[in-house]
Amino acid sequence: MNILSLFVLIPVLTCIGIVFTKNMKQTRLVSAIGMSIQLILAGLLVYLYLAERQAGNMAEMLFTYDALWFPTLNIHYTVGVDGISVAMIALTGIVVFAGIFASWKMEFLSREFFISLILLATGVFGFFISLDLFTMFLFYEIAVIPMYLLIGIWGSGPKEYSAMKLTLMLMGGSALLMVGLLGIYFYSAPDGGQLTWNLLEISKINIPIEMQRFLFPFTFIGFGILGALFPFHTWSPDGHASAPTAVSMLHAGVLMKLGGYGAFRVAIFLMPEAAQEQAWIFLILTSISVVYGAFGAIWQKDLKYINAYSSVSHCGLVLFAVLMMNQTAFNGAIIQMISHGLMTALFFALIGMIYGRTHTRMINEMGGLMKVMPFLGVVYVIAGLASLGLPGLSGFVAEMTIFFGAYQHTDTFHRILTIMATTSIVVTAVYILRVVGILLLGPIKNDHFLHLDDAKWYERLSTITLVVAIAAIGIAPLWLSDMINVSLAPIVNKISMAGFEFTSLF
Amino acid sequence: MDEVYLFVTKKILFNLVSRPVAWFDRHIVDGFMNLIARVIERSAYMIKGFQSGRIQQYGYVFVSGTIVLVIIFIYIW
Repeated sequence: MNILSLFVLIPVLTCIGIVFTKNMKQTRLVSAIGMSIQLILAGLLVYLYLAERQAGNMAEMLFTYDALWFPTLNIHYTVGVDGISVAMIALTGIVVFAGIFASWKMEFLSREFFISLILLATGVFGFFISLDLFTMFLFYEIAVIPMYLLIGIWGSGPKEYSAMKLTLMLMGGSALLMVGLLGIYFYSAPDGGQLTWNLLEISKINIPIEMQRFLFPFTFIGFGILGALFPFHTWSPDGHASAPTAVSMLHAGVLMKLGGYGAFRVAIFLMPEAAQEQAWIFLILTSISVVYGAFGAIWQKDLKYINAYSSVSHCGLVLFAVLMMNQTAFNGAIIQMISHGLMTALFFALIGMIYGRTHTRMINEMGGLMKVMPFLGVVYVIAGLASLGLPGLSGFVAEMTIFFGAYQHTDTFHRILTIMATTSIVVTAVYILRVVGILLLGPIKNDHFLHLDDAKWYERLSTITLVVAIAAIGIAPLWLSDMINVSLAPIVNKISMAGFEFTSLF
Repeated sequence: MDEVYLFVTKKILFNLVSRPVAWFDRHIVDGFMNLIARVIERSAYMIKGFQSGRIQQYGYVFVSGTIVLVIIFIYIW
């Protein structure tokens, strides 16, 4: 059996296993076992991938497998990974694992909750391994739909409103995306041969420029909505604020990355000429996202809203880097996706844990929590420092690489946008340090807080896993950026044929 | 120096930039998204009466539609 298919099979088997459990303890045990296997498998995949490359296998995609499943439209189940998708799979494995332990005390309809959560993970894993555009889209939908139930049933606050808003907006994105993908399919054989959904085969041909001009915005905005592209980001604050802890973690940590990954892997890779022509429009929008999200976060009072706006800013940076279209910026975009995925998952996990104790998420009602829950407090500070880009943690590596890449464009337009985006670093520091100051330091505002306890073992396991990953990328970033760089070469070549001058620092 | 710092952060960054951005996002950007939802809801409400289940009404629409089409085909086409 192909190792990649296991990434879809194990979550499905875990879901089936959960159906037969009798109580919450059994349910969470089965989920934890399933997702631990998945995490180990992700680690093994990284190892096998690096070993293959070490052995000199320079194929564009490794561990490929292909099976035809709908002959009429030539739809295949084609899987394969390169360094970029391996990195994204490893991220997903870590976040899902941490998410299971962050929902350890989920008592209400626990079986249904864990099934929906793992189903969502199945969609994400499937998306990252797919090379067939239709199968990729199918997994994308599998990932989006359980979100509605997860927020609508297990959420808090105006959960029905938020669930509906999030789902409808993402579905709107899917509709645009479907138009884009169908267009790509129907122009996948300009010489009159067999039409194909296969990403690699399509990358070898040139879609006519007139069609690219029409299809690129559909595809890019379709993915961009999931990547919180301004002004289609408004599902994000409400959705994240209402979602239960593990769902916020998965959504901001992994699902939003589907947007960035898709925009890069499908929209820009397959339609580079149109991307080159239209990049300026989207660059302006993403630069707005970056700065606007950061300023929006300052004024928020609810911890989850702060983090949701911060995600808009950080995910904006991913799309911003993707549109800069050079190797260094691409590399930065991928590292930023991973860095932000880990960091925001950690933030949402901590917010869930703090809320579970204080029963409020309003920062002005809290204070001095470092004294009563030192472990959670310290981890919150670490997450904050990673978010504001402190050297030694993952955020610094990602943002530096992006700004290096962006600054390689020598024209005034790109320079101005780069400088604009860079200011977000300062604004991020403002809202992160302000929250840390109000929330963790100073006097304890409520006597009830004096009786609160610190993190339990499962909460420590969840947060430590994420902290270790953040620190690992921060301290030793080169193994990751090398792994990504090798796989960027074919993509950069394809785009350079579209008339680009490429420069790279690595 | 402290006063300058406080003026820049509190007065300019927080009150003059961040606050309007947060307001703009909630009321204008998000408000526009909610407006789209409301327009769809209203139009669904307006046209739901067309499906009344009354056969006579369907009959009138059917016959008048046919007449309009016949007129179009004979005199205008």
